[in-house]
Amino acid sequence: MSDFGASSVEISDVTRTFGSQRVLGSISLSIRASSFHCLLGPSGCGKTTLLRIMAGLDTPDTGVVTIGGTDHSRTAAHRRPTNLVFQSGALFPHLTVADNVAFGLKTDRRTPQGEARSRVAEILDLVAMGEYADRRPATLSGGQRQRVAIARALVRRPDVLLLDEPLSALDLALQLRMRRELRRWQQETGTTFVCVTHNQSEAMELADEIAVMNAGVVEQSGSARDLYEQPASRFVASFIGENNIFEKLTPMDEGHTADGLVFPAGRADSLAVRPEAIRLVPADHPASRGPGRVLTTSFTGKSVRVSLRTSTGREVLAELAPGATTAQAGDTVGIDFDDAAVRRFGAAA
Amino acid sequence: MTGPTEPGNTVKRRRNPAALLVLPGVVYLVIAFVAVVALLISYSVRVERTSVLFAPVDLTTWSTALGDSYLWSTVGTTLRLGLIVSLITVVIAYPLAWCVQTMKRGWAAAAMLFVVFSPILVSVVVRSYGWQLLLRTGGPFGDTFDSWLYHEPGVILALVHVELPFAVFPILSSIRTIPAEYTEAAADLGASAAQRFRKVLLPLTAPGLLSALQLVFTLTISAFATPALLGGGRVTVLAQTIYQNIQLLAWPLAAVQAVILLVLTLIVLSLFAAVTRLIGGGVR
Ligand SMILES: Nc1ncnc2c1ncn2[C@@H]1O[C@H](COP(=O)(O)OP(=O)(O)OP(=O)(O)O)[C@@H](O)[C@H]1O
Ligand SMILES: [Mg+2]
Repeated sequence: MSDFGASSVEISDVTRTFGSQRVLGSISLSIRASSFHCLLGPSGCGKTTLLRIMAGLDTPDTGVVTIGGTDHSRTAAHRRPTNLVFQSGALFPHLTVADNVAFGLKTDRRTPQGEARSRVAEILDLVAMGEYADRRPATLSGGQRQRVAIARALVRRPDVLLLDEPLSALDLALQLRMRRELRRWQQETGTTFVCVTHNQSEAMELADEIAVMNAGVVEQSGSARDLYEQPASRFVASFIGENNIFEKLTPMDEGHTADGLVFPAGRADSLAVRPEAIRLVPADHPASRGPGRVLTTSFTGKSVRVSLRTSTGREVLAELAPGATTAQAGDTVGIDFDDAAVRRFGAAA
Repeated sequence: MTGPTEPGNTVKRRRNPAALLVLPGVVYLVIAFVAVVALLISYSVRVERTSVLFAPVDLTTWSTALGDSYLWSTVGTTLRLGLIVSLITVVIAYPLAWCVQTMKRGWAAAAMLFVVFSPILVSVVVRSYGWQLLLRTGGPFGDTFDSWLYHEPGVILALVHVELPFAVFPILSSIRTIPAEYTEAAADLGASAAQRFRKVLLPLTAPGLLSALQLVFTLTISAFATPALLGGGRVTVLAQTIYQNIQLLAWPLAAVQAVILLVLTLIVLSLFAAVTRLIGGGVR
């Protein structure tokens, strides 16, 4: 499958306003060729809008979209080297599965009919939909429709495949299976995949690189590991994985406190400590940073999750190795973590 | 429709209470349509108007009518007008409906719809005399349209005008059912504007297009006032000859012609239904 294309995408200073609403506020992003890039963010943060701008279905107010080194900002959608898989699939209801997939090959007359037919068959096999070739979209399940939508876009061998929440309509088991398949299709074709999602575990599993979006800006872009271990903002810290966020560090005689816990000295608007970095110690232990009353404990198999309440009422989640604690609901314990586990955001001047 | 029920394990279907709501409509239709058609048929097999219900059947009127070449030329004119008017109307209505649908500003679309609607807000007599004033020699266009008035082109012009709204609405409502995503997906898959129209829009709106054709065709072949006022006696359609025969008290002949008009309408309607089933069968 070496005939598939792959291009890098460079987005610089793209803005988009609908009426008086600023949906994208100066987005800059670079996407490596042949990589799997996820755009991750909460609902309404502008992910679909950004994807449509890359596809040429929407025009930015300002900014440049470069694909494979060529400025495509003014190129019409039907002339771009990209293909978009719509959030809804948008399969043509009057055409069969095979005709839907062949649609994008018939529009450009360069592909001979015989070749078009074999490419349709090849791509339908890739997404395991070969035996449904003569069905109409209305007779397919949601997951099958998504596969056909992906095949319809992939068969054109775009340099960049844009996917808008391709798995959101599926049940969890199917989602997990389709994630692996998406990843496999990306690796087998070598095409650049840009995939929108609001599901952080999906992004972490699929992507080489994740751009975390919030309210129309990219907060941080990097590998799943970078984002997890070095979140650049409070938003990223709370959006990627679970985190305990503490507000307003107050200077005291001995160290600084926030939400009833003692933190190492330093300025910050908010602090984050991962649940797995937290240890429970006896309440009177010298290492304790403050007391916490156990609200609930639950066993998940790999870990024990303990939810606690500090003296100021803040809830704290601890994720411990099974057997690391005997604490019961109602007990008061000491909360402890390493200084290095604390991440600080928005140090006020 | 019965499910796979075992013998003795029958499920009693409740009567649909909504069926009662249809009753007044059904009664009205039975009186207005079935009774009238029955009367028509009974008139057509008499030689003169009679109040005797069970007078002997006489097919003389039918045989003279069917052998009359004037009747057939009238039927020809009626069908030709129906075909030309429905085609022209639909060809004009399609882009109009598309235009209304794509208009960004609500008030502009509403204004456009009002313009499309306006012909049916004006009485047929006023509208027809309006066309006469426009087309006549010495009117605003001089004698450009001299040969149109009181000839088929004038009648066609006026019929297209009044039937436009009946074509725009079915087309508009079928366009409205198509999500913008379909045309966007087509564009994304490399389709030019022309290809998007031909391969996506047209097939998906075909049912609306066909019902527009159907509606305009039936309205045209039964139109009476417009051809009478703008045809100037030179363009004679079936509806006019029926009227004339009633004026001449030739009720049986009028009835024969009315039955012919009815049969023509039914044939055309079933043709359209067949085509609709053929192309729309697999869409949804
Ligand atoms: N055509 C439009 N006209 C007006 N506002 C729009 C339009 N398209 C999007 N918006 C607005 O832009 C914002 C971002 O929309 P967008 O569809 O990009 O969000 P998203 O990140 O894809 O959300 P989701 O995860 O729910 O799909 C929303 O507040 C939405 O209301
Ligand atoms: Mg979206």
